[in-house]
Amino acid sequence: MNLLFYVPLLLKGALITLSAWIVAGIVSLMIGTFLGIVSCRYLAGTKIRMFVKCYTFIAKGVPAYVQILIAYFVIPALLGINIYGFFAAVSALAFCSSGYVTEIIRSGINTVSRGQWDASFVLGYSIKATLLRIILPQAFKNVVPSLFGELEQLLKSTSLLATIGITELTRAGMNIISRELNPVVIYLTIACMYLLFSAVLQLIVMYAEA
Amino acid sequence: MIIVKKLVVELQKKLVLRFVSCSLPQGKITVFIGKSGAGKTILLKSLAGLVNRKDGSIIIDDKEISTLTARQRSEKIGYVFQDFNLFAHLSVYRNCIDPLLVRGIPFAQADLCVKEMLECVEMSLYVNKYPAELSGGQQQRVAIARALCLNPQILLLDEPTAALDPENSSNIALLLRKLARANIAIGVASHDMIFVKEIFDRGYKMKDGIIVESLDSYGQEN
Repeated sequence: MNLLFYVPLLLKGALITLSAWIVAGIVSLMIGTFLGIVSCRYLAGTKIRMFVKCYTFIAKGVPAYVQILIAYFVIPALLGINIYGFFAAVSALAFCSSGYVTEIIRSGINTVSRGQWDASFVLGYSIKATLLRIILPQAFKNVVPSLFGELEQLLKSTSLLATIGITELTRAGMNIISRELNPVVIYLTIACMYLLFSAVLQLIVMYAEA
Repeated sequence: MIIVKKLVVELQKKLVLRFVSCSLPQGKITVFIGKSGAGKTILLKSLAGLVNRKDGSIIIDDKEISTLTARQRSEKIGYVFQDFNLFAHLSVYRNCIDPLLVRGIPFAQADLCVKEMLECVEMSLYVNKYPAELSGGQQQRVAIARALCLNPQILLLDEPTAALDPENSSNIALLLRKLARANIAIGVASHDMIFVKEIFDRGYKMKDGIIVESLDSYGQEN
C-alpha cells in the first residue's frame, strides 16, 4: 500500500477534525466562561445557580455520542428542519464540553479569595473591571491545566463526528482501510496525528503556565 | 468628616452592631478598641460599604453614603484590610496604578501620583516586586499607598499591626501621624494597645457590637 497516495485524504480529514475542534472549543470556552462567571459564589443568585446546575447536569450527564445523535436526528425531526451534519455535531460537542468548562471556570473563580473582591470594591472597580482585571487573570492561572485537559478531551471527542458520516480524520482513515484492508498502518498513522495535535496543545500549556 | 448614627448591622440573622453612633473628624486618628468579636471590623466594613446595614445612617460631608456611587464612595474612603488584600498577580507598582487607570486618570498623572505615594511609604525600591515577595510590613505599606493614591478624605485601617513586628508597628504609627497632619480622617480598629497608645487622638471602646465608652484621650473616659 502506498500511504503517500492517501495523504491528501488524511490531511483533509485532519483539517475537518481541527476545524470541528477549534469551533467547538471556542464556543465551549465562551459559554463555559460566561456560565462559570454568573454562577460563581460571589455573583450568583439562587435562580441562576439552579439554572447553571441543570445546564451542567445535562451537558455532562448525557454522553457526547448521544448528544451528537440528538442534535443530528432528534432536533431536526422535532423542529421540522434540516441541520447540516457538521453544524449539529460541533454544536453538540460544544454543549457537552461547555458543561465541564463551566465547572472548571467556576471553581477557578471560587478559589480567588473573597479579599480580592472586597479590595476591588473599596477601590471603586466596577464588576466588569473586577472580573477582567483582577479575578479572571488569577482564576485562569489556577485552571489552565484543567482547561487544556478539557480541550484535549474535546479533540479526541471529534472522532465521534464519524458516527454521522462526517469525514473527519478517523472516518477518513476508516474509508481508506475499507479500500486497502490494511488497518495497522492507517490506524497507527491516525493515532500519531492525534498525538501530534495533543503535543502542540501540551506545548501551548507549558508556555501558558511558564 | 464621617458621622455614624444608630447603625445596626445584622449578619446571618444575628445583630453584630447595635445602634452604634460615632464620628471620625478630619485630621484626627480615631481608634476603635475592644476584644475580638466586639464589632470593630464590621463597623469599619460598614463604613466602607462592604457590609450592608439594617438601620441607621452614615453621613460623609452632609451626604448619606448610600446616595454616593461606588466610585464616589471609593474616592472618599480608603480602606486597608487586616490581611492587606493586595492583588496577587500584580506588581507593587501595578497594584497602585491600576485603580487610577480604571477610573480613567491619564497614565502620566497616575504614574506621578503612584511614585509620590510609594516614596511617601518608603516603598519606591520595590515597585517591580509582587506581594508574595514582600514582608508583612512592606505589604502593609503598599496597601496604604494604594489606598492613598485615590486621595481619600477618610482612611480606615483594620488591625494594621496584626502582621507586624514592633519596629514596623512604630513606623506605621509615624506614617499615620503624618497622614493625620495632612488632614485625613483616620479610623483604626486595633487591639494592640501599645500601637493604640502611639497613635491615639480619640477613640471608642466596643463590646458585643455596642460602643460602651467614648474616649477623648488615651486611658481617659469622656
